[in-house]
Amino acid sequence: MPVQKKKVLLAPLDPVHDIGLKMIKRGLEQAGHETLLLPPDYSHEEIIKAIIDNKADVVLVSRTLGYGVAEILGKFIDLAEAAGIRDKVKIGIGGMAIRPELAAELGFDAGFGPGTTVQEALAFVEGREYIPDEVKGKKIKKDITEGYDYTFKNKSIEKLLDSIVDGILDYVSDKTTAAVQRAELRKKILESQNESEKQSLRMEYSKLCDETVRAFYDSGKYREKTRPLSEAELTSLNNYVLEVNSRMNPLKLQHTEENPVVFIQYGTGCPFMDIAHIKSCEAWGADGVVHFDPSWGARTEGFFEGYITHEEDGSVITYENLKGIKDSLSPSTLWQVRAHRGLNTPETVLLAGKIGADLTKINIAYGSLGGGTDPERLTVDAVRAIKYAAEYNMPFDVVTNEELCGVPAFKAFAGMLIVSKLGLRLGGRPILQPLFCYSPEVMVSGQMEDNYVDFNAAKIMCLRNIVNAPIWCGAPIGFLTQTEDRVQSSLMTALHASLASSLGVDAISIASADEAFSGGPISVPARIDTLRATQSAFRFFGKSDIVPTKFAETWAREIESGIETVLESVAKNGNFVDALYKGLLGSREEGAYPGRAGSGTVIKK
Amino acid sequence: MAFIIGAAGTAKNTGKTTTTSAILDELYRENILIGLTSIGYDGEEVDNITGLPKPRLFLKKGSIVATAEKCLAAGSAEYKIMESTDIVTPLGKIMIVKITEDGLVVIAGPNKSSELRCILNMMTQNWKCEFIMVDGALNRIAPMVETDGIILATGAARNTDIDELVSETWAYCELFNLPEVSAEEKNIIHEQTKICLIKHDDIIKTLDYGSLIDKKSVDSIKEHIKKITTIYIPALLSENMLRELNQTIGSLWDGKILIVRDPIKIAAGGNPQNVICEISTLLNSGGKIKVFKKMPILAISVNPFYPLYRYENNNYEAGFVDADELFSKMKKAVPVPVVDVKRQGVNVLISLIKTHF
Amino acid sequence: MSAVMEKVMDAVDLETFLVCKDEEEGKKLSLQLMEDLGFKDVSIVFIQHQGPGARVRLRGYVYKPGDRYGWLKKE
Repeated sequence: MPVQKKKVLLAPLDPVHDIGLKMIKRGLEQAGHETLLLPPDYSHEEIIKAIIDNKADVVLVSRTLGYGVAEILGKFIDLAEAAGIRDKVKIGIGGMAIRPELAAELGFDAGFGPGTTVQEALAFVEGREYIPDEVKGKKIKKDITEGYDYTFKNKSIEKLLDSIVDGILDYVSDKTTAAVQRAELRKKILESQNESEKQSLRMEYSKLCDETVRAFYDSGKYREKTRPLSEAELTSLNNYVLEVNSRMNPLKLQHTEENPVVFIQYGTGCPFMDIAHIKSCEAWGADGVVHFDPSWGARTEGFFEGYITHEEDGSVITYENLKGIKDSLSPSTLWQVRAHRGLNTPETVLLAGKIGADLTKINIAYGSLGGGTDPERLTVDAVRAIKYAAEYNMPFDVVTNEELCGVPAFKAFAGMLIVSKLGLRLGGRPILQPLFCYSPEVMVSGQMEDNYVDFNAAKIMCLRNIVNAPIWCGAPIGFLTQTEDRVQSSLMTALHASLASSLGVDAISIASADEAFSGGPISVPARIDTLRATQSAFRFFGKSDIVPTKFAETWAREIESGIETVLESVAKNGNFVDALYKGLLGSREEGAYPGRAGSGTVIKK
Repeated sequence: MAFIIGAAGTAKNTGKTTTTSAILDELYRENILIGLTSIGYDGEEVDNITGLPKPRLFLKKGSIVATAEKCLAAGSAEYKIMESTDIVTPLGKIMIVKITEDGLVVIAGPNKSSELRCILNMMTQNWKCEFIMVDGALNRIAPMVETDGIILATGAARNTDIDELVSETWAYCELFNLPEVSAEEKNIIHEQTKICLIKHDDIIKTLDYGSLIDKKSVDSIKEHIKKITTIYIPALLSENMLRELNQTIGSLWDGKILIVRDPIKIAAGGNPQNVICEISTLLNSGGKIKVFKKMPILAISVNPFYPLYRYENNNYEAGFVDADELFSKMKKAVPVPVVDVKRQGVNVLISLIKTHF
Repeated sequence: MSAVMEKVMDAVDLETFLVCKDEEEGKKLSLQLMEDLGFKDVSIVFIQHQGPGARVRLRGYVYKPGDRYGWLKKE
């Protein structure tokens, strides 16, 4: 329905023009209304006369409130009433300290306090009810992979990757593991409608687990430092989430459509605290959240069941824990469950997919060189995990955290590209995850002696030169540049976020201001601090760019040729798993140690 | 017919709601159906920490209340919604409710005359209220034109200078005591919405505005003054333009009548003492001033309290002027009953109200 | 004043997150918290409420300009 054009009189009752009134004037004009801004020195009578002479439909008065000002405004309304125009014009008041109660007291039709949007005033002028969502833009879940066709620009790299992937698929074709079998059993347990069948499947499952997990299925024993959550605890959590959801009106971090999607990572150990943190992060604008499981979970064969809390870092993966977290999320929040390392990779992706996670995380090279899992074991598990990811339509990132161990970027990237190509071959949608960090490599070689911009920029430029794929900088950005001070830490995060945005990446993971603090769990204010900092940085830079020096391009070329050399050596070696053991994708001297968890557990079919 | 009175104030903290509350308390002893509404929301008792209104009016079972939707939840009284109106305020739609269990209520009624008229009609016609109190808001008075009379609350919060305050209140009483026009005069002008220049029974010219708020209209009046007997201003008459009129017309007022719609149309337009001063000039020149509709001040309620600013701790605390002096000087100056509700109660007001039943 | 408090140059800031339904409740809780902690001259430097609660920065002034500063006293 077309909106009737209105004549709006803007009357500042302050001695100076109010900037808010001018902004509203502009907004009203853009919406096609006629406006007239009166000079600030008009008397009340002159304003009344102007209203009559101009046949105004709406009057917006602005006045800063102070002692005795309320009476002045009350008097103005009386004057309008006595002049007989009160029924013909709508009169709104705006200014500091104006609230609906005050507008009612003063006799105005509406009150606009600080933070009033132009749209709110527009709704009043047009006689519509103001619905905040309509203007603040409902947050929409974004598909990071949208618009990428994974075309390789560097054809010789693509050729090398294809031959390596052929080798991997050939290698795993006759192998399986307990993790693969557990995932299959878990799928059956979840899909079974029959309790006794479920029970016998569980018994079968427990036989494929480590002793601590088997003890749980056999005699209900929990692992040390974990305990089940009580019914009462769960009810109170549900109530808390319901209550919080009813007052959620999340902020938006992005200032332009070019700003990346922002993820935070959670894993306090307790699903309750996780949810409390997640809700706060959502409220302050986080677009996505990443589930962190405890480090022992990666070295233990098998998963527990039920709602379980943990006293240390990392939140235990069970179907119920994940489901509880998923159910508490706002509909627009992207949710990632990591499965990039450890002995339960296929089942993790299966659970994530079953529960409806948006994303997962898989990387054989990092998981076996920096994550502690045996390369052969993880290769077999990861292929199955990627298949689940494709089946459940979950894009997955391929993280390169081995850089933090000391592996140079070009080697980490070679591993990332291999797993990405493997993912593509299996029907998945990989997301490249280069680090934005002050890595051991640059500490030693000096690429960040002058600035943190060039080398990070080089990584992105290099990847863009190789393949048209989505990029998600991790994890978290600015790693090892942050200190324990919240201002410094938040600033470093915000600057890295701006750099990522300037480079046009699709997503980033940010740390809390507690990133460098290792004395205890992360606090929620520390999370909000970096979200606020990132929002401010996006606002500051808008669509402007950060310009790297000429070194960025040089290094981008160097990394690209480094990748090619690594891939050549891996292809030449013939066996990817063997290449991992040999250190072709990161050597012991560089700090990469092939993991031993799950060593010798691969089964010939 | 219901009897409707308003509690209007000259400023915040002059005791409007205290007066309303005291009257309600007393009237509950009588067997009459009481209604309550207000002209907007009286926000002076907002709890500044919680931001919630602190309900101050205690209502008994059976009372009819017209208040905004959002205020209903803030009170402690139980209620039943009788009628939902189309009148919207910043605090939501006005609802007419019946109190089903005694308790406190927060009142935020309509803030325009036309809406108040509509609400009062519903309360009397649909819900048979016999006595309706209209609580004031801030220093606003204009919608009170719909009542049968007002109790004017004033006090040290308006002005701590007792003599000044008494003088201003006296001026208000004078303004509200202006004589009403005759039935014949009413017939001529009752449907007019623009300023009319009248010769005996004939309107010889109507001006562009209903209010006298500009110099050009004053000049038109001057142009015709010799040919007319009466000037009727249906809307606002501002203090400045009354002064202009006096200066322009001067001795030509002799034998002419100035009619304004109601006392509020002059009271709203300026400082009451100055307006009375201009009216004296008009009268001294041989002119007359009348109102189309009278709206009497029934009584004055005085309050010695005022918020005293303390520089030392950047805070307000309670201050008081001499209550005896305020009361006695006021009583001496004004022609209507004066009460100090906190000290003497409202018996004087109650007997005054009871004369209407 | 405790001996440690005397060493505070001017003020103690407290950064936290209060679970509450709106900003007004957040303010009330903030002032109560500072009062419970024994601060006499308290300011809410920053408060922002969103869904679950309020991110606050609360300040308890120990010395304001013109006071007799404890840290100037000879030990």
